Amino acid sequence: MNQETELQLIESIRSGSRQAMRRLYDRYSGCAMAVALRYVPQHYEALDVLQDGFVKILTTVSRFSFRGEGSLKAWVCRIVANQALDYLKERERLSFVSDVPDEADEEPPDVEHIPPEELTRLIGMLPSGYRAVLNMFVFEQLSHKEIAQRLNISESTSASQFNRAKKKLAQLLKEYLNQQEGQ
Amino acid sequence: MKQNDWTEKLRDRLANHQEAVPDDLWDAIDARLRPAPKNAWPWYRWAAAAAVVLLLVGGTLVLWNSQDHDMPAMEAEAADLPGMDSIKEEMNPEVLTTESMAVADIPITTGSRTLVDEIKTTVQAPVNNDPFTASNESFTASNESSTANNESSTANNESFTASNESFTASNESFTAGDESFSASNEQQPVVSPDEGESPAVLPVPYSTDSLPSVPVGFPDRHRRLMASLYTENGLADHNHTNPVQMSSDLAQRFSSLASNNMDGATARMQSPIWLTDYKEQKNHHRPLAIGLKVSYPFSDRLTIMSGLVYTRQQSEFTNVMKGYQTVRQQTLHYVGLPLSLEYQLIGWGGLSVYASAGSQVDWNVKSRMNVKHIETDGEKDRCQWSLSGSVGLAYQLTSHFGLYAESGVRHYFDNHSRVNNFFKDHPTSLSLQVGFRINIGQDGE
Repeated sequence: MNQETELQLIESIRSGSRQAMRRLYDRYSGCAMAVALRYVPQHYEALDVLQDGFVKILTTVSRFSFRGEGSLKAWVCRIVANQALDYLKERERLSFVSDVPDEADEEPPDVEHIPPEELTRLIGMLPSGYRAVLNMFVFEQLSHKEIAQRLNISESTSASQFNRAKKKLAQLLKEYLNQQEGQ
Repeated sequence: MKQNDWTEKLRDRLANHQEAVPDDLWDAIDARLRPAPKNAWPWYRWAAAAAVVLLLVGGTLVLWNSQDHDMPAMEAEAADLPGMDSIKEEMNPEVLTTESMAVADIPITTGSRTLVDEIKTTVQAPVNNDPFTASNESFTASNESSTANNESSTANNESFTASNESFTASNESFTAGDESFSASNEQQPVVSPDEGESPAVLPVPYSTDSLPSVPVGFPDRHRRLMASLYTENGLADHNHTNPVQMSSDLAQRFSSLASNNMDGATARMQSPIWLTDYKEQKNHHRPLAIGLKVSYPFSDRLTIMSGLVYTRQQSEFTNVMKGYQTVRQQTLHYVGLPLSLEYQLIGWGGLSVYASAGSQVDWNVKSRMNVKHIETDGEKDRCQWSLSGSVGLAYQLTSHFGLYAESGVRHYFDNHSRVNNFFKDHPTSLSLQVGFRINIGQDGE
């Protein structure tokens, strides 16, 4: 049996099917949770974000403009990411620090040997400002201009926060890898 | 592509990553997706509310109107008594006019009795073996007394009275002895001018003993049917500050950090870890209620009360972090149905002291949450039951209007809802209620 396409799913939801809403949730809640945890590492807070995000998704999906298979998933993840950012901003959690790690180097960490859940956990250990900018730049692929507008900061701040975030994360990843090698 | 370094691989690595989601999350989402009707009250709630209002209004009207029916009932009862027909015949209102009673200052004597010509009615003297003598008495009936008596009620002792022993008429009233026969002006004895000097003494057609007794001074319950408008306020706010314990997730992360010898980490996993510079504060304002009650007395001391009451309860929840704080303001609106019994302990003039006890059920009809001036619907509380007891002081300023104040204690039962409010953190609280009462029965004394 072929899997239901995103377009079919959207049409079912638009026709008022509650079961279709549940299917959309079942299909994308896992990746949406992964997105939420990258922004808001506290598990219970990520659940709040996810809940608010899906309420928004399912109440506005009728206005979603379908642009090919995969666009629904991308839209769901973007809604959840925006919800997470709003969550942090509402709670004054976004702080942009200039904590540059000592002996920062540009040697790329070997991310392919780190499990995704550990990558998510380590991203969550970044300071909130670093984390937000890194997520928006790397995963949402926004420009520094867009990030600056979204976070109400300057472009240079966005760029510097990203560079520092990258160095800090690289350090955390290497520490993790070293720890794993030591075991 | 904006970046072509290791972060690209990072993105690809996490592109299809999924994290576990608790099973019950959908239930919470589904509950929020349920069509929240713009009309927060479904039809059956409106029907229940309408039934309550109809019951109150209808009951009030029935009780009010029943007073009008009591008088005819009493008259009908009296009409069934033997001899009443003959009284009625002689109590022809047509013969009892102000004019006919205009015999003021005309003495009646045995020897030379003089009556004005206008007197066309007959005075039916009380039963007496002795001839009617009025040597030292005078029969004076002024327009004033006649008018006043016309206004008096049938069963009023202040109206004309006649005795078997004597008949005394004054400017104020006809007075009688203990064995008085209470009657209205329609029943006042009339002296027939045809009787001459020795007016015939006619038998009393109606025994005084057979009249229904009317208790004097017994409170007329219909006159005490009252409506009360009041406001009630708790006597204290509720403030509380919590330290915040690190969640198990975060504690595990710190444990991991501690093992890596990073700053600020601790490996004390066996005991709770309290977060510094982080606390939660909550402040429940005292509930404010405005109500309308109708009271109905079972007896001169015991009264039952019910009505409708609106209660507003506001709380602030503040998350305080180092240098930052977020405030959520919750406002809950309740509509309640109180039912109480009131017992008058002391009555002195217009002042009375009473005790009351009762219960109340409140429905949370609206819940709003305000975060930084953005207001959204909040979670509604469940049905809230409470018991109360109080002592009050009431003062009747006029026959229609009185003031009262009562202080009491109220206990709110746990309704197991997730809504954090005054009732949960302060289940037993003191309250003060002040208001006024309006007599909605007929004219009071």
